[in-house]
Amino acid sequence: MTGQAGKKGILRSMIEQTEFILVIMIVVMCILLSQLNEGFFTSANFRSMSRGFAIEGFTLIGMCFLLITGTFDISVASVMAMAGYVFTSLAVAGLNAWLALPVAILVGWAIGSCNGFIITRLRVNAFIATLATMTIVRGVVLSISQGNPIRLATAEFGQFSSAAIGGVPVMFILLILTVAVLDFMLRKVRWFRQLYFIGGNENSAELTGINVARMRFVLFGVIGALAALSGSLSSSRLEASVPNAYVGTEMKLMVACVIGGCSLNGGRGTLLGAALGLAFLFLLDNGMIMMGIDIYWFQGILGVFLIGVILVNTVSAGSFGRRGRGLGKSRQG
Amino acid sequence: MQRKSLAVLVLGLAMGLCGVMTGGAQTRTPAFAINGEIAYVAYYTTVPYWNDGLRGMEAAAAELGIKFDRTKNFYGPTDGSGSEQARIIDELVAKGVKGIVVSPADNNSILSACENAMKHGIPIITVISGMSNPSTYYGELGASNFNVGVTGGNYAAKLVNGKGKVGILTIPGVPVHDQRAQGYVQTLAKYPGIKVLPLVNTDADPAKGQERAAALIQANPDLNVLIGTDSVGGAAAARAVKEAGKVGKIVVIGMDRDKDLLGYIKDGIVTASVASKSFSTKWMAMHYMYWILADKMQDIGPGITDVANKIPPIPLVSDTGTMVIDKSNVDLFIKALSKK
Amino acid sequence: METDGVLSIRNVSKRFGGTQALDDVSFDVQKGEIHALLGENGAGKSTLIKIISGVVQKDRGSVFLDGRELKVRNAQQSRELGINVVYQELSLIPDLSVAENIFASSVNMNSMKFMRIGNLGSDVMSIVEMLDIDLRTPVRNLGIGAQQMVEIAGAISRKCRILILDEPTASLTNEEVKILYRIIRMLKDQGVIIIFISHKLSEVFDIADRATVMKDGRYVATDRVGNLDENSLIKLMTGRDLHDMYPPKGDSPGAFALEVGDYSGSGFRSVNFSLREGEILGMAGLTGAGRTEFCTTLFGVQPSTGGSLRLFGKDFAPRDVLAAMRAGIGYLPEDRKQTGVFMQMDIKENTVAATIDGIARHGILSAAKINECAREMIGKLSAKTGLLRDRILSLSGGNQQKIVLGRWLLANPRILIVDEPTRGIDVGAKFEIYQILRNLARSGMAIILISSELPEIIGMSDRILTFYKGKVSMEIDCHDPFLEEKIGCGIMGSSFRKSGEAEA
Repeated sequence: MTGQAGKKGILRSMIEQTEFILVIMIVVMCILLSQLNEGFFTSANFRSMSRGFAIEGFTLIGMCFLLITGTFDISVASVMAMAGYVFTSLAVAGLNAWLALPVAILVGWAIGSCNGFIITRLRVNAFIATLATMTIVRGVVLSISQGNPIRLATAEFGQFSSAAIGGVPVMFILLILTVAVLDFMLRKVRWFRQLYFIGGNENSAELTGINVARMRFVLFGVIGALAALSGSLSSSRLEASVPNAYVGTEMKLMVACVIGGCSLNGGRGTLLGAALGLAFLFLLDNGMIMMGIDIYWFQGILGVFLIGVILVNTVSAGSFGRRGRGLGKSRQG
Repeated sequence: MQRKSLAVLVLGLAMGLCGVMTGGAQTRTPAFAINGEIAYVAYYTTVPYWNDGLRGMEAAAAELGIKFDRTKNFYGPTDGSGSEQARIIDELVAKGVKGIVVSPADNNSILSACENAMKHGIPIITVISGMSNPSTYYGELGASNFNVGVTGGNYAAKLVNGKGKVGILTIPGVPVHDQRAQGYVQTLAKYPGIKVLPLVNTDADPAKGQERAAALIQANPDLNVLIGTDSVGGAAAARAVKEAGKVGKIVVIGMDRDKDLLGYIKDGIVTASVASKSFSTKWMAMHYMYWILADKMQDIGPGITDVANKIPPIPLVSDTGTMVIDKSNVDLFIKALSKK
Repeated sequence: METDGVLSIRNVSKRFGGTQALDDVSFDVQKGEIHALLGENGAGKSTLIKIISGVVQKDRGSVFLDGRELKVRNAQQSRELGINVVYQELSLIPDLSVAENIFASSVNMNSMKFMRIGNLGSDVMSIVEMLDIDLRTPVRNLGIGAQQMVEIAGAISRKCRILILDEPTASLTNEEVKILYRIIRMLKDQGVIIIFISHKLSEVFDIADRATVMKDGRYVATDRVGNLDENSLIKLMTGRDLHDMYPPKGDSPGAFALEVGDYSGSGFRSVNFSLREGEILGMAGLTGAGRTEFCTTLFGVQPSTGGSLRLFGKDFAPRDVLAAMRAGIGYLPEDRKQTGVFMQMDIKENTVAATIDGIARHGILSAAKINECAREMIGKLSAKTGLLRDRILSLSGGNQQKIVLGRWLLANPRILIVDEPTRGIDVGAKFEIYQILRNLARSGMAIILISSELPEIIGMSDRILTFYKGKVSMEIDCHDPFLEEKIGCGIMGSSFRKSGEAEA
């Protein structure tokens, strides 16, 4: 330990936490938006956002885990559509909702495990493998559904997304609890902690006794199952399965993770950060509508905000110095 | 005896052939006979959307004595590939079809294929939409997308007595959606009591569309009309209205006649949907094709025909109109849907 | 004083945060001179180079070339002045051809034209000829040494007044080093100033005209190489004598730790030897002789194809790495960057990576316990680190290596394999690592040392095995009077005959 230790106060170390910066940005944004439009700070608006957030949040967990180990899955949107289709078809066929959900999740897990197998055993690049799965799964959904939405008319299936305790959607509460527990586990539990080692240096991890392939295989199965849960919940909310829906969700989730401190190279990030990143994206989208931004400017302004938030993160985390290897902060002679 | 039986046989064969040629021989003999194939080229061909149009084509063909069978004369890629369409058109030209009706997958991909077909004397008519260079085909038939907005806009304005705030869910950058949105905006602008909010992008995604529609409803408590320029936007609007508990307080206008949208109309969540007329569009297209091939129009003077003298025989753009589906007639549409 | 062609460094100082990286450094480098810049890590060599090449701005002092003050604000500017640096890490684009890579660094952006291979300068062509490579070969297909040469070729294809080489030989074979020497001498004859950083002192004597030694950011001395020897240089750099470099050998090895019988696998076959507790067993051999392959197989990374292992008297067949670890084997991999450190992660996590199992209670980790373990180990190895939560990349190579070593010591292995434990680290850290390894052996650990540096093998090992083409070619005791000759023969696969009659 050198004299540097004393200089890093509590405030400094808090500012270096991506999560802390995100919380501040979210609070500032909420205050600004509530000033700009009184419709923003209403329970109805937050209820609506929390539903969408919860649905995508479950898949976000899987994406965050994968990114920490230095890989990703871009087939999640297709899996969501597939699971939604399975879920609604079973509903229409008259199956009990509590049976239809596990079946849909099982289908998702199977697709995810296929990805895992192709990537860890056949050693195909994750981008290529999940891109293939993304196309195949989407193609299958489109052809068996003939591209038609299936309407879900039974209230039993709607309850998954509409159930609420004291006005707060149950699925949102469940997501928050899951994120809290898993975030703790990512920080403290050995198995989860090892994800960082895999992302940090796959070869080194292998040589320290971590079974990299097995862990990745499990994670791909998990993200498949989580995407299926998201897809089923979304179908419950949309009261229909829409075969061509969710395109681009994988990018949104990856962006959320990166905003929350993950690196595409792996080894970094927290689930809390990723969840805050997703919350930020939802608020941003909602805020743009609240402010009545012109449709043709919408994407551009969204992009500017994203670059902005990532810049703030990098600067505050002091990553500038760290990344510019051997420049400014180097200790080497 | 032998000779007589031979004559009967020949006669019978001829009649049989005739019957095949005229598709069952149940119609009157047309004044002009087309001996060859009229092809219809579309895209995403497995989607049931095309059923109504094909019905229209088959009906017109039967009436005109043209052989048209959806299992044999209906072509196109199972995806939205324009280049694949171009390849199919080239093959049809090589095969020597008499005429091609096409629904272009995009504005440009098949231009040269169409030009080539026309050079070979094979007429091209487009349905649903036209293309960036109208000199490569005789004319286009379809619902004017701008008029969709005019129809839907006037319908909604009447329901809210020309007063209120309107939100429009669309997909910017896609020509048909931009034209529909413009139709709505310009029509609603004529009502001084109505304010149109900035357009909202659904990104063609039902979940995202619903998310943004919900935000729009919360941002504007006095919103009383929500419009979708396609079935995704319409359904997204319906679900957002339902989730916000504003059914009946907000007039929702959708587009097209998808199953779930019809369901929302029946439930009273979607007020009305503007649908294009697929049957009549294709029915008319088949007739146009017949008229071009028959070349009987004499716009220059007696005895001088149009096609032979390079005079356009059909209108460049034919608006085939729209129909409004609301609670009063939705049952008919649902019934028709379950029949198919 | 003649100033034409002279690079003068005058009173240069630089401070990074709390560290004084350079403190009032002054010396001259003459025209057409090969000048070695020496010092331990942290001595300030890299910072000085970065200041000369404009990557880092100095706080005080000045740098003169031809008697005119150099004021470079960025690397681009310094290139235009003819200052070229070849760093240890290669910056080539693997899928482009040799010619394109050479041009990539020399073609001016605003005069980009079609590439003409025939248009390469004569210097560049002579390098290419020496290397005997096709200009159209993608760089990916070249060995690491040839890649380094391409990098140098790129550097001198530009205007070149000063060429700075940062550890150019770290990854070269002996043959390639010879070619590099020829290139350097060729440039020297053209009056190019060459500054050369290396941790291998033998190279300094081979190639350099003069050497400057730095220590802790300060200038220590400059002298003609002829006036120096290895001992005096090490003393200047570390303040220690060469004779103290290697600790005394062990005396009484204990019970058998490992007995290897006819063990075969991918890259080696029929290996037989035994290893005792408290012993350091050196493994010498050329690259690809099967030493690393043998050790990684022993460690469960890849399966063996035959033979037997007995570990502390019990039969042993490692199913995977975890099984080998549990059986008491540790492995410090040869390539620290590729297979050692977790780059993105902090110091404490790098330290506990292999023992995370043991630290967790019911699968749950305690931050306090991690800190405690890491701090204890860092203290034990006297690694110089900042905060435990700083990233490992902030450390020098030597300290990174100590952390990776510490990772294995935490796992309490009874057999420790160290593969090139001192590669790319400075003299001071080497010395410390030697001490640590010997102390471990003294406490009863059995150690297998793989090294390409003969002095290290000889200085550290109690017994030496030489590998040749996948087989153990010789087993030699450290007290053998013909130790060096025998090792040389063993490595080359020839048999040893007394009194210099050895082949090759």
